[in-house]
Formats: sequence, C-alpha cells, structure tokens
Amino acid sequence: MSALSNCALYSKEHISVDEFTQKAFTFLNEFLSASDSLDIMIVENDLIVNKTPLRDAGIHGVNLMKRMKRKGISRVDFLKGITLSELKQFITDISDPEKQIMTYPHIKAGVVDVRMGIPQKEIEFDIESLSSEQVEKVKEIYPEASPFKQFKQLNTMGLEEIIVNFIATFKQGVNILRLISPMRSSSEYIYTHATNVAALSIFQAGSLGVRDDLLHDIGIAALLHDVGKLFISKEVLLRSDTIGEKEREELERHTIYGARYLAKIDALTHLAPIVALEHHLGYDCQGYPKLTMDGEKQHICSQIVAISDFFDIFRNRRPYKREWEIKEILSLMKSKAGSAFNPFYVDNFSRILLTALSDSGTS
Amino acid sequence: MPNESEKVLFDTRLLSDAIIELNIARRNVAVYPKGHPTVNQSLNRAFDLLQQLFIMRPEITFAIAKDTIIIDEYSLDKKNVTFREFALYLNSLDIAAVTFTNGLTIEELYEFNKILPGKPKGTSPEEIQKELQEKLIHIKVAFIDYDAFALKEGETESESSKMSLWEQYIYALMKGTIQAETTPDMMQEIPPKALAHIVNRAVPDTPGEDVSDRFTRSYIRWSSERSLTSKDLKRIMDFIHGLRPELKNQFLSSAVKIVTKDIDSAKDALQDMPVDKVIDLLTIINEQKITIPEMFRNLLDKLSQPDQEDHAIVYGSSLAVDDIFLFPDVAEIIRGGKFGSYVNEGYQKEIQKLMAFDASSLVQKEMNEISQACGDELLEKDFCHVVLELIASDLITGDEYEYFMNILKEQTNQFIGTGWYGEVVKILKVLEKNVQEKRLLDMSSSALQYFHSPEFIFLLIDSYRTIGRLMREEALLLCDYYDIEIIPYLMDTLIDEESPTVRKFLISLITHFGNKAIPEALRRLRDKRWFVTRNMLYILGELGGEEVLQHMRSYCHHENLKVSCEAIKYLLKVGDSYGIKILKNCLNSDKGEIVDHAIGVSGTFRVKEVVHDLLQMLRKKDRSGAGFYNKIPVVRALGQIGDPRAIEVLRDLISEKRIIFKGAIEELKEEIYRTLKNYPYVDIKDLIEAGLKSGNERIREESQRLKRLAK
Repeated sequence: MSALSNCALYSKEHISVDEFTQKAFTFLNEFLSASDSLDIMIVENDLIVNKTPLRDAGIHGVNLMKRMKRKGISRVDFLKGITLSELKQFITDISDPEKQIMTYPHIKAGVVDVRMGIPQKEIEFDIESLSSEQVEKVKEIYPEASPFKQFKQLNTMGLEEIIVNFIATFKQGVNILRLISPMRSSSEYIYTHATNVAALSIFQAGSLGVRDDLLHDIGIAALLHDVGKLFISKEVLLRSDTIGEKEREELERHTIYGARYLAKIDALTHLAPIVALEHHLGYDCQGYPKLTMDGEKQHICSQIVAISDFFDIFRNRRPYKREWEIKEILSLMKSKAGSAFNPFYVDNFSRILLTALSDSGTS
Repeated sequence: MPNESEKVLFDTRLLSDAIIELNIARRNVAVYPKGHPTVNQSLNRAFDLLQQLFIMRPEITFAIAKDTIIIDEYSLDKKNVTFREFALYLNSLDIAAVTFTNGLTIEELYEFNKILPGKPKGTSPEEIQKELQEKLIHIKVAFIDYDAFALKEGETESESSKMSLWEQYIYALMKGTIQAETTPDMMQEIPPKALAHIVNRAVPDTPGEDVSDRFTRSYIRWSSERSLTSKDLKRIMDFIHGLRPELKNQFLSSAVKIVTKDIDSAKDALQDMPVDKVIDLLTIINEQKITIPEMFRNLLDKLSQPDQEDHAIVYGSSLAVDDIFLFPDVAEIIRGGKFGSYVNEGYQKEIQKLMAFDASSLVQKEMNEISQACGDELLEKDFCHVVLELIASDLITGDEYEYFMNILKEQTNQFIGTGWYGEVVKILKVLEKNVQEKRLLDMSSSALQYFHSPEFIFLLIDSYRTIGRLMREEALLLCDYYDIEIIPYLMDTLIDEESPTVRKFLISLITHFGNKAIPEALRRLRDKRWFVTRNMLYILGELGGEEVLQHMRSYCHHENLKVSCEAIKYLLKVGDSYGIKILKNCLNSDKGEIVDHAIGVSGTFRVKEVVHDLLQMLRKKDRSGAGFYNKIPVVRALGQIGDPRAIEVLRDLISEKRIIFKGAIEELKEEIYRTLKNYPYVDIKDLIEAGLKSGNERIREESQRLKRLAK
C-alpha cells in the first residue's frame, strides 16, 4: 500500500515507489516460495487474504479496498513467478485513476464469482434441482451462497429479497438515508436545507468537471453538513428573539458535533466530517470553529458547500427574514469573496447559476 | 434435515426470543466462569426456548449472511439490533451456518459458546471443526468456505448490473409476484425519483387500479398499526411528481384513497409538513382533477395558509440567519422584517431546474485540484486534521477519544509510509497539549507514550531509510520534535545500515542536532566494533569543538588504520599541529599500508608541512619497476598540494631515461603531467614545452591542455 500511495502521490518514477515495490516484491516472493498464489479479495466490505478474513484491515486495508473497488475489481491473485516489473506495472495501473487494470502473466485481477462446485458430502445441497436462473441468482448474491449450501429449500422469492438487501449493504457501504432521517424527524427545514445544499453543491462540482464517485461523495458531504444540529438543543435551534454568548457557542458547536458524529462512521466518505467541521470556517479561516492547529486551510469541498449553504439560507424565507433575490445574494457573496468565500468559486457559482436559470439555459 | 413437506413455520416470537437468549448466553459465557449463576440462567433460558422450537421441528439452522440471520428462505429483520449483533458475532468467527438439533444438552450449548471465541488467531477451521465434532453432537457448524469465491478474471463490476436487479425487482412487484406485505425494507430506501424513473420504464401502459393501490401502499408502508407521517406523504408526492403524466393521475388517486382512510392520521401528517408541500399537494390534486373527500380538501385549504407571526433573531448588536452570523452590513438590511416560513416555491423550482441541468456542459476548466485534494492520501490527511481538532476539543467522551486515537495511530503509519513526517509532528503536538491541559489525561499520556516507544521510533526511522532523504525538511521537523531522544535510534540504524547514501542521510540527521549529539557519539566511541568508532569519529568531526579535539588526538593511535585515519583527517582539517606530527610519523612508517594512507591524506588535506617527506620518497632510487609505480600516489599528492618546491624533483623524474622499467617510468611521467595544472605556470612552462615534443601521446595531450589553460 505504501508503494501505491507514493505512486498516487508522487509519480511512478519516484524512488520511494521503487523501494516500496521492491519491499512488497520481497514479501510476496517469500510468501510464494511456500505457496502457489496469494489471493486478495473483497467480500461484502471484508478484505479476505488467502481465504482468511482480515477483520481489522486497518487504514492500509481500507485504502486497498477503496482502490480495488474504484477499479471495479474485487479480487487479485498474485502467482508464483511474479516479476518485479509486473508488480510495478500493476501498482502503477491501480494507482492511476485513468488506467484500466490490464492482464499480467502472474497477476490476475477481476471480480469474485461464486464457484458452484460439486457439493461436499455433508452438505445436502442439490444444485441440479435449481433452475439456471436460480443458479444465476445465487451467484449474484455470493456472500450468502455459502450458507445457502445448507439448504435444500431455496426459492426465488426469498432470494429476491436478499438481493435487494445485499445491494443496500454492498453497494453503498453505508446507508445515507438512515443517517439523514433523524435530521428530517428533527426539523423539516434542516432536512430541506440539507438536500438543497447537496443539490447546489453537486451542481457546482459538476460544473467544475467533477464526476462519478467524487461527485457522489461531495453530494453526501453536503447533505450531511449540518448533521451536528441534531446534537444542539431545540431551544437554541428554535431560538427566541435574542441569543446570548452561550447559545451562540452552542450553535457554533454543531460543526464539531457533526464532524464527531460522521468521523465515527467507517464506510462514509471522509469528506463528510471534513465538510461538517469546516463549512463555516471561511476561506480565510476566520469563521468558526476556531481551529487548534495553525496554518490550516479550508478544504476545497468545504469551500464549495459553504457557498451552497450561504446561498440556500438566504434564498429561503425564514420566520425572521424574507427570501432574498438571487442577484442580491450573489452580490453579497461577491463582497465576501476572498474573506468568507473562495473568489474563484463565487465567480463560478454566479456564472453557472445565472446560465442554468436563464431562459436559454437548457437541460 | 426436514424436507419441504415436513417444514413447519416457526413461531416468530419464540424464534426471536431464542436468538436473544442465545446472544445473552454467549456474552455471559465470555464474561463469567462456568457454573456462575448468570451463565447458568441464560443458558437455561436459551436451552428452554430451543426445546420449544424443537417441538415444531427437530432441527433449526441459522444461516449467516454477514449481518443478517437467515432461517429457511427468510432473512430476519436487519434492523433488529440483537439479530444483527448475533449475526455479526457468528460472522466474525467465520461461521456460515449453525444447526441445533433435538437432543441438545446445556453442556453442549456452553461448549459451543466457549470453544469458538476462545480459539487463538490462526487456528484453522479444520482444527476447530474437529474439536467441535468431538464435543458437540447436536450442534453443527458450517464455516464460510472461501474457496467458493473464485476469480472471474478480467471482469469489472459495472453499475448496469445494479440497475437491472432493481428493475427485476420492480417488475416483479408490479406483476404482483411479490406481495406488498412482504416488501423488503429496501423498497423504502429507493429514492422517490429513482423509483418513479424505474416505474416509468417498467410499466408500459396504465396499470390496473389494484396494482397502483398495492404499489402505493407498499411504498408508503402504511398500515392500521402505524400512523401516517409527513415523511410518507412527501415521499409519495415526490414519487408522483416523477411519474409519466399518464401514470400520475392513477397513482395520485391511489395515494389519496389510502391517505384519506384515516383522516385524523392524515391531519397529523399534514400539520407536520411545510406549507409549500401542502400547497404543492393541493395544486397537483387540482391539476389532475382528482376527487377528494370534502374533509380532506378543507384540511388542505386550511393548512396551506402560511403563518405570518414571526420574528427576527438578535445576537448582540448583530443578527443571525440560521447558523450564519451575519456581517453588520447585512444585519442592517434584514433587521425589521416580518416574514413567513421558509417556504419558497419559486426557489424549490430553481433547485429542480438546477438538478435537471447538465452542469458538465458549463465546465470551463477542469479543476484538477479538486480531484487531487480528494485523492485518498490528501483526504486522509485532512481527515486526520479533523480528528485532531476533535481530540483537542472538550466535546468528546473517553470512548470516542480512544476510537479517534486508534484512527490517528493508523494514520501515522500511513504518513510515515509517504514521508509526511510533518503530519506526525502535528499529532504529537496536539497530544502534548492535551497532556498539558489534562484533557483525558490518562489516555493522552498513554497515546503519547506509544509515539515515544522504541517500537514506534524504529518504525519511523525505518521509513527515514526508505523515503526520508527525499522528504528531508519534514524528517528534520520530526527530529526537532523528538530532540535528543531520537539520536540513539538514529545511531543504531546508522551502524547497521549498508547503503552509503542512507548512511550519509542518517549522519546528516544526527549532525543536525549539533553539540547535542556529542555525548551519545562519545559514549559510542568505546564500541568494540571499529566501524562504529570510525562512524562516531566522523560524526564528531562534523560537529567539531574543543571537546572533540581531545578525543580525536587520542584516536590517532588507534590500532585500526581506518579509525586512526579518521582522527588524523579531522586534526588536519582543523589545522591541529598534532595531526601533522602524526602524519609525518605515518609517512615514515615501516608499514606500507600506513604510508599509503598517509600519502593520500597529505594530498587530500594539502598538507604543505609534509612536502619535504613526500619529496624524499620521490628522490629514492628505484631498483624495480614497482618502485616507480609506488611513486605515482606521491606525485598525485604533491600535485594536490601544488607546492613549487616539488618542481625540481619532478623535472628530474621527467628527464629519467632507462631502458628497463620503461613502462613504469612512462606511467609515472604521465601522472606528473596530469598533476602539473596545480603548480604556478611560470615554474612549469619549460616542462610543458618539452611535453609538447614528447613521443608519448598522452603527455603531449596533457601539455596541450596545460598550454590552453595558461592562455
């Protein structure tokens, strides 16, 4: 993983990539001297190395899974006879987001498939009794396939239910709807605001050339940016005419509460806690919360979400304010460009918003 | 195992209780000793419940799909915390299925809970299976067979397969092959728009009323036992909005029919909805010309009126809008307004327009910096900063602190692997601050101890060996943090290091500490290994100072030539007269090896004081070819010194003419010409002229070069 990280961070020519690849090669060869292959696979978010699940794969394991998933592969087999150049090529390919995984003489990459072999004696599973369609379905839900070997009575109805459940856990990793549903119960406004901010942020990011998984992650982070408000008392959230220092402090803490909440969710994009913490920080870091460490900068995605957040709040009508006109908000944002907001993103937002909402804006 | 005809459905309640008790029993067995009343009680309860289940069927099999328990073809409720916990527990033991059969004993139940979690890591399933088979007759365990997961080479997972499964499901639902009552939870998790999209594609014509009713009911998942919520209403409205025009009417009618069955529940749900949504509902009902009960219409009319009694929020002399504390200028604009709720239909339409808009068509310049900033490594770094902010706050619990510390420890390994030592420094500084401020003191101190442990520091230095020299500035930052604590580790690594490049880098890190590194280097001078002593002398030589000088003098007489040479070199570097004295002794030594070293050092350090000794060597009459060859290093050393006193002797050597040893003499002459460039031109002019006429081609070339240089 160090070789992969350094390859992604620096370049494939970087000396550290060579050194770490060499190290990995030495380990692999050591292992392959006693075995014909070393296989790494992902089964429902678990990393399985040589048929042994690594329950606590650590950050390296998690990152390896991320990279494999991003490439659309769930299994890699390293075979005896592997060469250093093959390994280096594989590391280069897997760390380059633009490159496809190629075939290599001693490295086999692909997806996990359920092998429907001859049933073991003690397992009373009659594969012949299944229709080909049913077999296909079993294959699709491979994590469940092994336990199913215990049963004679498979039927399509049950399988379909499991397929749908499987997609929910396997494809998403984390159920975002379950994360945000408490927000909705807490306040319809917070929920609507969150979805609007997500929509605006995805719109902004899309206009900046962001696509696919990253666009999705930015959307998720934006959706959850205010999740910390769940931990703020209703009295402060539904505050009266005047708020004091303590109430202000508590309100500001929603950024930390949000980050705290989201940082504990393993399968969630790390953008989410970053954005939750920083969306009020400001481009010049003069907002809140006051950071402990010096020299920190607001993350680009937090800058994007901050713009969406600001826009949505002003565009909405609240009990204490009218809804602002788009031009008024953009003008206000421009006056804060360089301090509260990244000027480049303010300009971009202004440009794309007016274009998309103009009559000539075509979808 | 029962066959299909024998299969009797379990009593759900009984089954659920049995799993709960099995889960409690396994926890108690893990915590308390055998025979403890708590263990006995829970085992008895689980046993009794299983016995009751055996009355219905002679055996019960729990299959485990990661976090889900499957019995027969049904998966149990995933949302049930106990089921999930029990499933995950069995999955963590690599169990795919457990079968309990009639005849089970309490002792077996105890052993089942004792054997599995007690196995040391690395015990093979075969070994465990063998032990289980010996001890458990009525409990059969099937382990996950990872051999079943084969490689499908060259294939990648595509999004299209996901979509087709969704569609399959919806088709089945629309055909009625899945009953609404058995609709899985996942149905609720399909976003309304996505669902509408699928339905638009899946349903070619207008479906029958029964189909839309069943579908709508299952999507709302509303029954007489559960009140309707605003969330249900909003979902169904969003779903309807996304439908094709000809489907809208049909599904809206179904929705109204279902919702108005219980008008009180509908009222509660509508009251919780934002006004704009109520207006929206009313509008679409009017547009689609749906007939609705009078009571429901009155309710919608009433609730679609916005409440105008609102107020502004004052913070000090400023204003706050939500969580944004306003700039004073903006506060002034807002102050004094009386406004309604946040509903803004126009704005919601704008959002919808933006969502439908293809933003990628507006790309002017691809912002690579976004994808870079969101690359795994940089994102981990920023995430680490978030975690640091959290542990530096007073807003987390001890458990959370521990959780985040584990993240940080893992992150540190990542940082070390990529040479981001500055990030490690940040972590250490936050921890130190926490200790100073007594923030969760025990945990902060213990974490800090880890980062100061030999295990960690060796890990760090191992990374220095690999990538440190490429991230020199950051490596020095971390050295500065650890201060003298890291010096012994650096020296240990230096001693074992074979790569000259890495050794040089490690020495540079050590010498970065200046005088602080001297005590450790002096302590190690006494090491019995000569190369350690030499390394330490080298380090001390780099550090310098009066204290160093004394030690260097004593090591000039070291039995190992490389060690003594290191000491002499230092003395010559600082111009210490004792060094010159020792060098002279060496030049006159009986041991050829010592003399050779001394000649080399004389040239390297341009020691004019030994020119006389070197010339003496040249003047020596040679009776063999080897004698001439031996003079080559002396000529080279004199050339490096460049003292004109040597010219006369060199001239004599150039004019030397012998028939024997001709080859050796010619080589010596060539070396003389190669070294002449360091002497004053006026003193060697005649030698250059003579060289130009030489029959030796190399001498001629050197002479031409020297002449060109002179010009």
